[in-house]
Amino acid sequence: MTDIWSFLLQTLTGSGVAVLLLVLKAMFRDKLSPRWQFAVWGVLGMVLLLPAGFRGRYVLVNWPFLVELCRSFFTGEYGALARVTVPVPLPVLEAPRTLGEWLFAVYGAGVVVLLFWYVLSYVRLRLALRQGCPAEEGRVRTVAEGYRLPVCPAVEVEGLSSAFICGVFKPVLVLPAGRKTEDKVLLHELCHLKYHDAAWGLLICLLRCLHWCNPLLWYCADRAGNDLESLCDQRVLERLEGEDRRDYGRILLDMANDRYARAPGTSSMANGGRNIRRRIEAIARFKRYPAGMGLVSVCVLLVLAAPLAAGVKAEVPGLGAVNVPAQLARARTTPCTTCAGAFDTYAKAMLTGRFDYRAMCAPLAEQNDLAEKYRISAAQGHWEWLDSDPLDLNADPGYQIYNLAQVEENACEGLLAVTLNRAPKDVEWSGLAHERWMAVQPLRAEKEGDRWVVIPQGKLTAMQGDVRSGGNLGLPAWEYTATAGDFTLRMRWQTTSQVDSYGEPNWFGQSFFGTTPIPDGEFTSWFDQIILADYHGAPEDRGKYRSIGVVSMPMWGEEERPELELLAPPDRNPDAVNWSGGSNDGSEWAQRTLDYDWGKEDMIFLSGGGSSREGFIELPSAYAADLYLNEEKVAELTLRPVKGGMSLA
Amino acid sequence: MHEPNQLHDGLSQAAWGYFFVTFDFNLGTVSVLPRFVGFLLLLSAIGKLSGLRRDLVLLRSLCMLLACYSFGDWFLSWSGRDIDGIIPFLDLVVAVAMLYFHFQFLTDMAALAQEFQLDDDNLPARMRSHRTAYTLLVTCISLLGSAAQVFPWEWWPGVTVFVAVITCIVALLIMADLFHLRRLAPRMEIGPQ
Repeated sequence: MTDIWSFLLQTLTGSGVAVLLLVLKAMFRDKLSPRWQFAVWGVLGMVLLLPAGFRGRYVLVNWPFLVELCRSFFTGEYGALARVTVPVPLPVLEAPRTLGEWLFAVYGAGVVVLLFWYVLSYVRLRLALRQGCPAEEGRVRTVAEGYRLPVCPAVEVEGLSSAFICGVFKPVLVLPAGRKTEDKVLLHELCHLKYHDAAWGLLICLLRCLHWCNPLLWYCADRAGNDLESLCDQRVLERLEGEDRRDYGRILLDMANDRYARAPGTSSMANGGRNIRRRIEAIARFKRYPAGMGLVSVCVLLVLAAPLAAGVKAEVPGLGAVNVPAQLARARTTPCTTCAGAFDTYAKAMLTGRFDYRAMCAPLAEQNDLAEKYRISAAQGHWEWLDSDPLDLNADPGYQIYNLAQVEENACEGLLAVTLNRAPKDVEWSGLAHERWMAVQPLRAEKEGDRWVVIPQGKLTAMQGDVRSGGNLGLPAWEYTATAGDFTLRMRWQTTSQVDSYGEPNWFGQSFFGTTPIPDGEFTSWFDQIILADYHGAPEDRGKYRSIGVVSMPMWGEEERPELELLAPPDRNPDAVNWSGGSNDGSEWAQRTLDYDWGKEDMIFLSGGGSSREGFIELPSAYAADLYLNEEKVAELTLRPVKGGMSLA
Repeated sequence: MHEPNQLHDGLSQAAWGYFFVTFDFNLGTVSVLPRFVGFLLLLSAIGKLSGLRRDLVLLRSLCMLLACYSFGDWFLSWSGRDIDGIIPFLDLVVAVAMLYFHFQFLTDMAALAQEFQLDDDNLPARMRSHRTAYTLLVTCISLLGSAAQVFPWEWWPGVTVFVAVITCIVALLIMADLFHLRRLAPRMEIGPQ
């Protein structure tokens, strides 16, 4: 936590869970055992120790949204996001300037002061114990042995009203000097010792320090402390029978007016009149819980803890809200948690022209500008992001990300392409479907904290598509080449990716593209490749070549060049002179005769194909290819990349 | 004084209650075996059997909560919506209440069987085993739901369906236990305690 907003997020998240637990404890007060009543506070402890709002998920209530809304309302700031990386305040080295920074400084100082006060009181207590006399251990040992409990050193100290255990790692049993301590009190304290209850007390104190200004959490800390004592009472009563149980209740009643010290790392049987009253009520309900109650208690804790740990995924903002700060706060707190989700959100922001979709995937540094444009647009009555339309996008629903590649550990690049329904101004279009114009924009997605954001790398450009075969020939692709004699082999590699946004088919089997972003989506990708041969020999030499064949295979990383073999497909027509094929792994093989049309073009199409994959498709580092001329292998080649897939030139 | 067949009626209602609570059959988005009917049957069973087992009275408020929540869910299903997720706070309270309710109700039914000292000595132990299995399976389904939210894995739905099918089988066994108990239980009048 580095600012007051992240503290607010953390403490409010804890408060929501605290209310839930108080409701559940009221519901199950007379139904579940003291063990459960104390253990359930562990769920609150877990939530307070987990960073709130992690990966855009919230617990019970959408606190991240409410906190951001407050921030925007009070400070007019949109370019920030409350983020909790660790649930403790981290020192800020700069001097506070704004009210928020001063408040955080006061909060941080409060944590330090309270922590210091707890440490000081513990040290003072330890020093006071040094003044005490070692107690006669015989009776303590007898009680411990009688109930099979561990023992620890015991001291007698003047001026105490009741016994307690002090210390977590080297515990000491502290007894009031000058009067006899009842066996049942010793039993109670030895039970604390056995179950290391002082450690729980210490943890509660630490959480008190972290949330010192939240009275609800202090109340819960008090209740947790009291439940710990009730649990110890239960353990004592399970060891006692008949009249002894009534005696125990009487002793507890006598302590109702005793003073008690609440120091960290201690556990005392006396904990104040009001708390003792609650404990006596619990004793009145005492029963030995039936076999299986432990099981259901654990199950209830798991059913409670798992959804609170997992949190709830923030919903993509709907169209309902027409309030700029609220809409942008909701967008900011619905982060894109995957690279694919960020590209998908950006593409849909372009298609729909919505500010809030763009805010979901815009870097924080751009959020203030975005808010200003949105506010101006909203003042004119437009709730859509009209600026997104430099090409007067009259686009088909749907998009593709071409040539997606991971360029750094947390960064990817690709070309966004949407199909236009008409050609740009002053440009002619044949009207053929496969030559439709497209709006293309190079994009980069990168991680900013735990959200993915999209940064455009250029403007939208109109390009004419060509989807007759082998991907879109009108758009860029990677190229790999190698030359042998009069021929250059050229492999054209292109990928397309998108997050599946088509809903379930309706009764007529139609499914439609949904324009709601999928910020945690994953890509489905497709690759297309074409292998071509360019002839650059002398025209009079063409007659030497009757046929050309090739077999190729992609290579990944530092992989060694594989051995290849060109084999005619076993099921081919024996009379066929041209044949080709491909495999899902990217292998291609083909043979072409050069008897006809050979004089007209220098480029020979050999083979092509493609396949789909879930997620990214890795870019091959090279292609291994064997070239055959006149059915004789003439070269073993390695095709190297020469052109990238992002170039719009 | 209550009617003489209250014990048998109560056990029948409990058994059919489990049928409605566990099995779901939808026409479109609307369930034709609404769960709230199951909880109303269980509520009625609690009323009839609480004369024999006083602990059952403690479950009445939980059962009413579950019946109201299930009715809300069924009501919303007419508009194609699902109550789950609208108020996460309430979902959790109901999940916990449901788990405890089934455990305690079946524990009380097993205790009832024990008190009758029936010809079938194994029935109480069998009922407790089925109760434990049911509790663990309901917990398992809940945990699978949370795990699927955080760790995407294509097999989660399959695993959940598998666990749900086993839960249905256990629910059938519980129904069989309750009908068996009704058959063996003495016909008796239940007076106020």
